[in-house]
Amino acid sequence: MIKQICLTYFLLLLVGFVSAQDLDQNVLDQINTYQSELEKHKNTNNTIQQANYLNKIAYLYWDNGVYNKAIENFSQSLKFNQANNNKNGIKSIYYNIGLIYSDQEKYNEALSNFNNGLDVARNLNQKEGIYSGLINKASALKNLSKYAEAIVSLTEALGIAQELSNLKLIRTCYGMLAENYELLGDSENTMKYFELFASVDKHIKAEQIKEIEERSKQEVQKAQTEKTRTQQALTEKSDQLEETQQTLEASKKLSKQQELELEVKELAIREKEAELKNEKIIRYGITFIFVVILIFSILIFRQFKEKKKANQKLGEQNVQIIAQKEEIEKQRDLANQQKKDITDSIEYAKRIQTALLPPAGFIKRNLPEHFIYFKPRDIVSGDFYWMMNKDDKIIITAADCTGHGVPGAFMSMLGTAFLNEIVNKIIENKHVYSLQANEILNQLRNYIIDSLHQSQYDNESKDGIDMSLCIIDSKNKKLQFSGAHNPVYIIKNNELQILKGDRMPVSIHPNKDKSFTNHEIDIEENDIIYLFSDGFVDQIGGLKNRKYMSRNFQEFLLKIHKEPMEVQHKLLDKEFESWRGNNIQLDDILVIGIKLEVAEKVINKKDTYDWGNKVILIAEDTEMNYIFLVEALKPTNVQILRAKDGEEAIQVCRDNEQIDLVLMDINMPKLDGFESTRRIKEFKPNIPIIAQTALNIEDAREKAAEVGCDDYILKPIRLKQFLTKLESFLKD
Amino acid sequence: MEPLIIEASSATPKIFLDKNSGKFEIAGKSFPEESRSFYAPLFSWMNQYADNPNEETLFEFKMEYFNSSSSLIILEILNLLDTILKKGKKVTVAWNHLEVDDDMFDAGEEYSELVKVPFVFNAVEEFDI
Repeated sequence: MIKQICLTYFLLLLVGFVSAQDLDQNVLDQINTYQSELEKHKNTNNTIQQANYLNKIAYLYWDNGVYNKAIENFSQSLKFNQANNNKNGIKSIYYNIGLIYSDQEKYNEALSNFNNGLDVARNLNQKEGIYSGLINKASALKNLSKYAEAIVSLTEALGIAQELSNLKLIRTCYGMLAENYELLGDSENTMKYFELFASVDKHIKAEQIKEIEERSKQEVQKAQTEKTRTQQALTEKSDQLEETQQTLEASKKLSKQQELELEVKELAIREKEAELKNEKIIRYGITFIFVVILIFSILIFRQFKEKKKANQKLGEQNVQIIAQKEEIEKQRDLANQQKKDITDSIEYAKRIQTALLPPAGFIKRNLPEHFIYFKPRDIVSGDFYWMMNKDDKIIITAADCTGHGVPGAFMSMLGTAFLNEIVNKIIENKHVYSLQANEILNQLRNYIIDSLHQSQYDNESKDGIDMSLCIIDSKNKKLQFSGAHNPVYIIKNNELQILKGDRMPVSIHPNKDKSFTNHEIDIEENDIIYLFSDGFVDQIGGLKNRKYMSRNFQEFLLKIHKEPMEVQHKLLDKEFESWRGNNIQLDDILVIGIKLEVAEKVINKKDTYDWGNKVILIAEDTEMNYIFLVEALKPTNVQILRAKDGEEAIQVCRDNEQIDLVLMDINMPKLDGFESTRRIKEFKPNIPIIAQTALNIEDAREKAAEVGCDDYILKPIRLKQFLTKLESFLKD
Repeated sequence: MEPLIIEASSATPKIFLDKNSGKFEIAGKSFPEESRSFYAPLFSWMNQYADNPNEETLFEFKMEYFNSSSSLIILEILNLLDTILKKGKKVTVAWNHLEVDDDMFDAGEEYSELVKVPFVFNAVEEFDI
């Protein structure tokens, strides 16, 4: 990586020696055109256009590596912009000049220009502008080896990126923070920000992949629908054509038959004529022939007329059928369009609703060990969750609004907005230490009753929210709870404790003047709490086609509560789907699980690990992962061996007398971690092997145990727990 | 008065209301698409019955599941029973729930707090419907 950077700089330096004379003729022509435009505007004294053309010239020089000229032109443009008080322009030019100096590795000059631009951006209060200024400044500071100052800028930039909720900007900040902390030698923070970077990066990539998949799925579907529709239309048309032809042929047949009949008649007449001839009554005969011809003509004429009429009728019917068909198609298209419009608008509403939910990264930072199982019945949801962190107290709620789908979603938006306002107001007026869980519910009830004009408790106005709300105070090891209909479950030392909510909703109710109850209990490290709506327990399914019921839910949670939170999330979904079977999902589903961390943060404890006489083998093919394991282990003085694939891991174990522990990656080339573990255990059964698994591996824990792994950790690793786990194997 | 009998379906409960035999029962699951229209016959029957009720009414609920719009319907039925109670007649609600179904028991308790009609709670192993 460092090599690559050096190479890039080297190339940049080379380009830096390009002078104006060496420029391509096309570029020179272009510059000349701009120059003459510039002259024109100079004559009319149009400073805005002069600045514009100076910028264009500067960009061309910059693109072609003529830095001094680029700066010269930008500086001139800057004067015009200053004269016109065009702050946006001033800011951009400062940033550009700064970037040009950076390109030339003149970081001090770059820094002062970034600072100037930043001042302007701050003056404009333009968030994106401030963000990019801070990022530019940080990278200049980094190159000046002022890492701590760079971190200050980056922290501010991160705040802005979070405010803008722009994941990509956040990712950049995390990445640069990790880099600067690494250069500072602060491995704890390096790990922290790298993990954040990796998880945001993973998220963004997953989202991108999902988007692409979704889009291509839609394309395929659209093409298929189009194809079926065309085929259908084609079949319909050919059917019609065939029908028409059949009718035509039938009528043709009919007229032929009649013709034949006539011929027979004619023959009979001729016969008679002959007879008459014989009787020498030729006159009568001639008359008769005339008569016959006459009749014949009339018959033919009538028949011709009838056939024409029939054809006409057929034609009319055809026109009618086509018109009807068109009408039906039109209506069908209209209905389809309407349906699509409605679905589209609800899909859009979903985006707004999702944006209002607390972002995953925000929750993860405050509650590192948690899961949120959220499964709306329709596109939008009546269930929602909400979280706030104030002075080390975390307020979190799982809420269920009356109804599901669109009506429920409206209510959930109200709930989210009110909760933000209420909690902020309480904290403003009082102090976070006096924050009471029930007070939030009481106030939310007032807000809802007022805003929905619920004046009396009747059957039409029972829209409201059922919810459980917790305040986690890990400093003082206390948990407050207040509930409307819904409870909270706490699992402590394998025992499940239930705090029930009050029997009233957050809305108008006969007991609306009664305060919600405030519960408070002590909590310890690793206690697990579960908040949920009734969607899971009320789902109908199973053998008897019954509700799942709270009791089953309690038993199931007790069964799975020791699994890592992400695994519990998956198990809950599996359980739900197998219970539901072929039944429809009746309601929105929301289950939140949180493993509490109340222990004092042991910052320096890692320094007390001394594994100087120990040897660890890291079997890891991915360079980045390996480097971070090495970084994490550096303070412990442990000796590290490395294998880049499964076969090498086995070989290293054979060749080395002393190996005290193996960290085994699962996904490796040649031989995966499971198989390698199995083989190593065959000849050295006493080496502890810890598998490192990513979550996407199915049944990783079971498989790891099966092949003889002594323990396993989930990636990305968490430093504190990682070291504690290793200590349990390495201590003498 | 003619009895009202509606058989259960996958999303609607069985309804059995008979003034002569004195059996009043709603049993099963309730999550109809349109709860108002499904329960309309029940309300017109019950309103008629409330005008001229028996001396004693024992109304039995044997619910396995109901959604939130059905929960409003149940409250309305209970309010109707309250009006019969006000006329000086004896009215009791028998709230049957599966032994394992704590949530159904809780729901019954909450209803009993909201109306005046006395409730009797029965935990059963299986419903005899």
